[in-house]
Amino acid sequence: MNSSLHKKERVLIGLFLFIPLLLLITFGFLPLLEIISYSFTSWNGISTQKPWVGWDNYVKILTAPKYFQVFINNLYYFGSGLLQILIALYLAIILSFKVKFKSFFKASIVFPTLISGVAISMMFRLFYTPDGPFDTLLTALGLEKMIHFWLGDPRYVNYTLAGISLWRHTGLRFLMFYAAIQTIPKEYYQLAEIEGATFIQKVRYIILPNIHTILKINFILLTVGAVTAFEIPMIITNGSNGTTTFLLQTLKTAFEQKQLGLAASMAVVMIIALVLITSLQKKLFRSDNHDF
Amino acid sequence: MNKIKLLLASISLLSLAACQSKPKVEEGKIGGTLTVVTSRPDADELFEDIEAGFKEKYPEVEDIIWESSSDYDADIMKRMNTKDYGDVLFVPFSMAGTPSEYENYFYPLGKVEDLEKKYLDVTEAVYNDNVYGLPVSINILGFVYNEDVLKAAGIESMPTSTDGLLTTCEQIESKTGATCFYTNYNTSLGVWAGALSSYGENYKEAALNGNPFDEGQPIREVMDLFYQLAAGGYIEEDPITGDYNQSLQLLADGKVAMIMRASQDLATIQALNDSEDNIKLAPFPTTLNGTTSIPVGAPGVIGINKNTDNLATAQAFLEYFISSESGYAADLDGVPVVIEELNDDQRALFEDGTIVKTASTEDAAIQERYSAVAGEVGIARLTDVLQKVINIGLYPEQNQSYDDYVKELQTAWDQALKNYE
Amino acid sequence: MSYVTFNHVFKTYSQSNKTVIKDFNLSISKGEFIVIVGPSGSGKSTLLELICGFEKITSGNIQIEGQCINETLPKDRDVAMVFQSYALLPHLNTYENIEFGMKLRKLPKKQREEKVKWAARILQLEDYLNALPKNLSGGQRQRIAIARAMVREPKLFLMDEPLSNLDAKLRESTGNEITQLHRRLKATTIYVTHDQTEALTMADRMVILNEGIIQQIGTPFEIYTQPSNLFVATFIGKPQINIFNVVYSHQQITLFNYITLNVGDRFSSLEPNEEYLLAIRAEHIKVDNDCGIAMVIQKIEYLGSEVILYLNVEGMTVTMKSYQKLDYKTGASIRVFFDLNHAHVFNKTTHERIELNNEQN
Repeated sequence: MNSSLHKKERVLIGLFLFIPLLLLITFGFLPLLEIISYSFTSWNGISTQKPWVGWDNYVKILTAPKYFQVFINNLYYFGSGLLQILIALYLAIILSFKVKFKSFFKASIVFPTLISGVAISMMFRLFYTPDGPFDTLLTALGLEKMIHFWLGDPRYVNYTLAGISLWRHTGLRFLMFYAAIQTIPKEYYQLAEIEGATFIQKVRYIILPNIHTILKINFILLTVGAVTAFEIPMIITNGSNGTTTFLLQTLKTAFEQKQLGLAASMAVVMIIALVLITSLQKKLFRSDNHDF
Repeated sequence: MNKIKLLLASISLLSLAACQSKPKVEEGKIGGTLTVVTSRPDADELFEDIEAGFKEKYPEVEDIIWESSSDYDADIMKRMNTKDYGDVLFVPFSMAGTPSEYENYFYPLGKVEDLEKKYLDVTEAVYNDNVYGLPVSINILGFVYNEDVLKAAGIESMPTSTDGLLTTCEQIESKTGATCFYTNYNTSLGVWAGALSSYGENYKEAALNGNPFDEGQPIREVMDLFYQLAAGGYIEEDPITGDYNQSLQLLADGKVAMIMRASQDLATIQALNDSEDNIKLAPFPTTLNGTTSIPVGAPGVIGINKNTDNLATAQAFLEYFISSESGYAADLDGVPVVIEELNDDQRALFEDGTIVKTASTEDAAIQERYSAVAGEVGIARLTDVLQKVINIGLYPEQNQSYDDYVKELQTAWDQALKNYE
Repeated sequence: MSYVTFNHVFKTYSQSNKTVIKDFNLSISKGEFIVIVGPSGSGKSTLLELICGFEKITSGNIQIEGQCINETLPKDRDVAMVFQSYALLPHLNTYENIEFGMKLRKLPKKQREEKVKWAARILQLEDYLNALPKNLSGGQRQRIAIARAMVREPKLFLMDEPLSNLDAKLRESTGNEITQLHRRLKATTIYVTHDQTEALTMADRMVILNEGIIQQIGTPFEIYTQPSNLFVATFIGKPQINIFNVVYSHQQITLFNYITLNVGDRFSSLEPNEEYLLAIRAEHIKVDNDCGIAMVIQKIEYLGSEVILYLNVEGMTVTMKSYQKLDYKTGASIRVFFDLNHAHVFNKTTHERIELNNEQN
C-alpha cells in the first residue's frame, strides 16, 4: 500500500515537473548548446550548409581590436547602472518614511520602465532635438552655454545615452529596494526611535543590513546589465556615431552582416565573461553569508 | 479509449466534408470562380472594388475568393508544396534567388521581348526568357524635390552628377537658406542600396573582381556624396534627431529642397502643401553610359498558378489587375505598369533615362559570394556605413579622417575577398 | 511621590475615529513592577506606544518624574523597551547588540565595554558575546534584548509581552529571571501581557484593561480576592470563576429556580426578588455527600497535586477544584456545597461587585 502510494507520488511529481523542465531545456539549454555549436562554424544564418571552422571565430574576436574596442562603450552603462543603484536606493529610503504625495512619486519613478522601446526612441530623439525641449529647459535655467548636439556630437552622445538608460531602468531597481525595505519589521524603526538614531544611523544599521540580499542582487544585475547593454543605443542611434556596445555589435554581426557563426562565438565569449564576473561577485559576497 | 477513436474518426469525416470541390469551367471561357492569393490582408475594401469592376467587365464570372496572409512568403511557399495555392497569386520574393523554380509553379505569361513592349519592368520573375510574373505597380526611386525652392535659387534642372549636386546645394543654401538635402539618417539610409544600380550595373560582380570602395565604384560614389554633403553643411544640422514625417513637411513647406524617396510618396507630400504642383521626382544625380537611370522596383509581382483549372479567367484577371482599370496601382500611388497608361511626366522620365532595377539582377553565385564578403567587411547594410560617413563629415575632429576610413574599408574588402575564394 | 503618572489619557485614531484608550489614570511609584493585563485588542500595545512616543496622546498627559512628556521625542523620554519579537539586529553579535544604543549615542568605548560586561554577567550571557542572534535560542535572545534595555539605566522599563514567544518551561524560568532582575535593579517597570498567570506571579500591582478602559488597579491579592467587576472576576483565575443567576429573598438565594441556599445575614444588602450574578471560584466548591447540590461529573482533569472536575447541573458546567484524593468517575453523581463566605455577587446589569456584609476572605 505504501510503496504504491510512493510510486503514484513520484509519477505525479514527475508529471508536474515535466512541463517546466521541458521549457527549461527547450528554451534554456538547447539554444545554449546550439549557439556553442554554431560558434565553430561560419554559418550565415540561412544556408543549409554550416562549414566547420574550428576555433577561427574565437581567434578572430580575441585578436582583431575592432571587436573588443566596443567594450569601452559598455563602461558608460556600467557607470549609469551604479548611479541607478544609488539613486534608486536613496529614493526608496526617502519614500519609506512619511512623505506627501508618496504614490505620485512612486508612480513617476516606475513609469519609465513600462514604456516601450519604440516610444522611448521617439520621445528622446524629440527631446534632444536642437532647440527642442531639453535645450529650451537649459536656456530657461540659464545654462545655454552648455548646449550641444546631445545625440549628434560624438563627444556627448554616450553620456546622453547612459542618461537615458538611467531614466529608463532606475524604476526597476527602485521597486526592488522599496519592496525590500517594506519587509523590515516596524519594531526595528521603533527601536531606532527609542535609542535616538539619526537618519543616517537608521539607514546604516536598520535599513541597509536588512536589505543586503537585494543589494547584492542589484550589483550582480549591474554587471550583467553593463555587459549586455544594447537596447538604448540600438533604438536611439542604431549604434552609429561610436555608440555601439558589445551585444549590439553581436546582433548586427548575426543578422545584418549575416555572420551567424562569428556572432555565436561573440555570444559565447560574453556568456563566459558574465559567468566569470558573477561567480567572482558571489565569492566576494559569500563572506557576508547571513540567512536571517 | 474507444470513445476517443470514435471522436477522432467523426472529426476527420466532418473536416473532409468541409472541403468542397469547385465546378469546372469550360476551357477558354471566362467565368466560374477564381481564387486570388495576395500578401495584403489590409486591402479588403480595395479588393471588393476590384472584384466589382472585374465582374462588371466579365459578367460571366461568378465569384472571386480572396485569400491573404501577412507572413506571405513563408505561408505561400508552404502551400506551393501542394497544388492548391489559388488561381492567381503574388509571386513570393524569396523565389528570386532560385529563378529556375518558376517554371515548376507558375504559368508562363509570355516572352520577355514581347511583353516589354507593353509593360514596364517585365523581368521581375523571369527564367529562360519566359516571364512568370508581372509587377502590380511600379515604384521609382529617386530624389523628390520642391521645384519652387530650385526656382528661387535660380536653378533650372536637377543635377546629374555629385559635383553638380554640390553646386546646386551651394546655391540653394546661399540664395534661399533652405536645407538642401535632408538625409533621414534614422529611416532612409538603407534604401540607398536600391540606388546602387544607378551608379553601375553589375556592381556586385565588379566588386568581387576589384574593390567597391575604389573611386568610381557605386558604393564609393554614394559614400563620397554623403561625405561631401555632410562636410559642406548641406544637410540637416543634427541628423540623428531627425524625423521622417517632419522631413516630408519641411520639403512641402520649402524649408528643405530635396530628399531621397520614391514615386509613391509624391502624392503624400504634395497633399501636405495643397495648393501647388511643385513636388517632383528626379533621378539620382549620376549618369550611366551618358544617361540618367530610372531605378524601378515592384512592391508586388503577380502570376498564375500552373495548376489552375480556370486559365482564361485567371489570365483576364491578371491583365485587369495590373492595368489602371483595377485601380490597384493608383491606390499605392504607383506608376502604372502598362506603358500606354503613363502620364507625361512619367513618360518623359522613361524616355530620358535608362530603366534599371533597384533589385540586383546578377546571377545567384555572384550574389551569394558578394553577401558573404560584404558581411565580413560589415557593409551588408549600407545604413551603418553611411551613418558613419555622415558623422565623419559633421565631426571631423572626433572621428578618423574620411580617407583613412575609405582605406580601412578597402583593405578589409581585399582581406575578405581572400577568405571567400 | 508618583514617579510615572497617567492623567486622563485618551487615545483616538483620527482615521478610524476609534477611541482605543479611555480615561487612563495611573500613578506608579519608583521601583514598582506594574503589569498591565488584558485580552487582545484591549489597548495594551497602544498604551506602550503612547508611553514610548510612537503615537501621539489625544488628550490627557503622561508625566515622568513630574515632567510632562507628551511632546518629548522618544529618544529623550529616557524609556527603554523590550520588544515582543526582541528586535535584535541580525547582523550584530550579542556584544554589539547590547551596546547598540550606547554606540548610537557615542558613549566612549570604555564605558560601553563596562556596561555590556555588567549586563552580560547578570543575565549570564558572557559565554555568548560573540554569537549572532540566529545561532542563539529564544531565551538567550530575550535576555540580550533585556540587557540592551538595561544598559540604558532608563527611568522606565517597558516590556511588551516578552515571554509570549517562548515555550512553557522557558517562560517560567525567564519570568523568574525578570522578577529577580527587577528586585536587584529596582527599576520602575511597566510590563504588558495577556497572560493572567504571568501578571499574578510577577506584579507588584496589576492594571486590568478591557477595551481601553481600566477595570481595576490593585495588588494581585486584591485583584484575585476582591474583583471589582464581573470582567475582572472572570478574566483572572484559572479555572474561570463560576457564575450563577440567583434571586435573593429572606436570607436565601435561589439557583435554577429550585435550589435554595441559606445565606444568613451576609447577603442582606441585596434587594429582594431581584436577579443577581453569584460568582464562586472552583476552589470554594467542596464535596458534601449529605446535603450538597446534586451534579453529574462530566470531565476529570488530574493535575497531579489537584483535580479539576467539570460538573454538569441544569445544563450548566461548573468547575470544581479538589485537593482530596477521592475516586472520581465520569458520569457519576456528586454532591457539592458552595463556600459562600468567599462568593461574590455582581449586579446583573452593571456587572459591578456588590459589597456584602462581613467580608471575609
